[in-house]
Amino acid sequence: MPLLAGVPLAAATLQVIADDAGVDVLHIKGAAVDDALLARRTVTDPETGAVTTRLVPRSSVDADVLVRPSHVKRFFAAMSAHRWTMVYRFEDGSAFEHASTWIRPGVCHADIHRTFPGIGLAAEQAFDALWADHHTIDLAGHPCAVPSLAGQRLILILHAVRGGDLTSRDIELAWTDASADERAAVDALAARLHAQVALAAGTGRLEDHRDHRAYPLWKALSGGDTSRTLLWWARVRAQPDPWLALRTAVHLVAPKRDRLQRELGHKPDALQIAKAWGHQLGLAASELGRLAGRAAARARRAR
Amino acid sequence: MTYRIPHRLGHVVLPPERDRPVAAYLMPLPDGDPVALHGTAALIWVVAAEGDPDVPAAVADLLGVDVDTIADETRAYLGSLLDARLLERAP
Repeated sequence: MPLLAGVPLAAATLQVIADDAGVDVLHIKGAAVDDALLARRTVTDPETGAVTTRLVPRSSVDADVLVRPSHVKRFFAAMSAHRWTMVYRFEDGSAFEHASTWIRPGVCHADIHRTFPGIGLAAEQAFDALWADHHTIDLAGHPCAVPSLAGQRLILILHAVRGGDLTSRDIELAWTDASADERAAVDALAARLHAQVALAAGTGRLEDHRDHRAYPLWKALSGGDTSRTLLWWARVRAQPDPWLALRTAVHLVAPKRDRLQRELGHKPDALQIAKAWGHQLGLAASELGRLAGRAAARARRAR
Repeated sequence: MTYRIPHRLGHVVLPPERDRPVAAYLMPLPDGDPVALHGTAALIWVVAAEGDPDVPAAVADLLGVDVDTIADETRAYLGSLLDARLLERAP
């Protein structure tokens, strides 16, 4: 099935499951993006010469859903009862632990988000803020809840920044092409969601936040720096309290159990887990060495 | 007779593009398996789903053929779509 059909069908199944389970979900990115944020191309009719403008559908490979954090457990139980199978837990996904991946026969896979990287407000309150202005759109014939247009702009920008793609077409459509009022609405929402630093990274204003604890993280991410160690340190520094910093520090270097199990094809034993730890720590050590080398080179150039 | 889309039938219609004919992807939500209709089959479903009261005539018009040449087959196909619950009769 083409993704143009598989993605909205996956989104619609998730919405129906959520509706039946009394779960609040917001569809984000992909097929759920408002037409105002889609690229356009002109098409010339070869016979009549008439020129028309067509929307270019987003090329997404999965259905992305942000679920109210307090409803996650109920949603996962409902999904499991309706042919969906978890592939990766939150903890086995990105360093932000923000999304869990699920699959279902016949449609594309789904990423279920409980938070969105770049948003600093507590997850439940952040969802409330996005939910407050939501509306519905038609996906595969079913009404699906989506954030406000300002919310969609913000999410697209934060997503592009996290991927280190500051020249992303999404940023162009969501910010560069936006009017002053539209930008103001995004700024206001970012302030409510404590997402100003990540937004600033995507909109050329990151240096206004040099003193913020999240600055190094978004500086590194937006610069496309893929050094695990640098990102590890930036993620740890971005945490608001020592306990979260410690938890993040350990989690980011810990081998991911489910990923390991999928690679091995069976549940890892103690020795295999120990080897995975060794591998992770080895990677960290070699990257530390590389970072130290880069710092020394910078110091030599400065002299 | 007019038809309509059953409650909770997910549906995505992809218009024809280059070598690909019109296609309709249908799936009972939330637990069903997807069904793909292509070409004339998709056209019949789309015309019926839009509530056209004379589906064979509308399809014949779109295809540029005499309605008598397709009426029986179209009605038979509409029957199979009803049986599969991919369409339902409108009251």
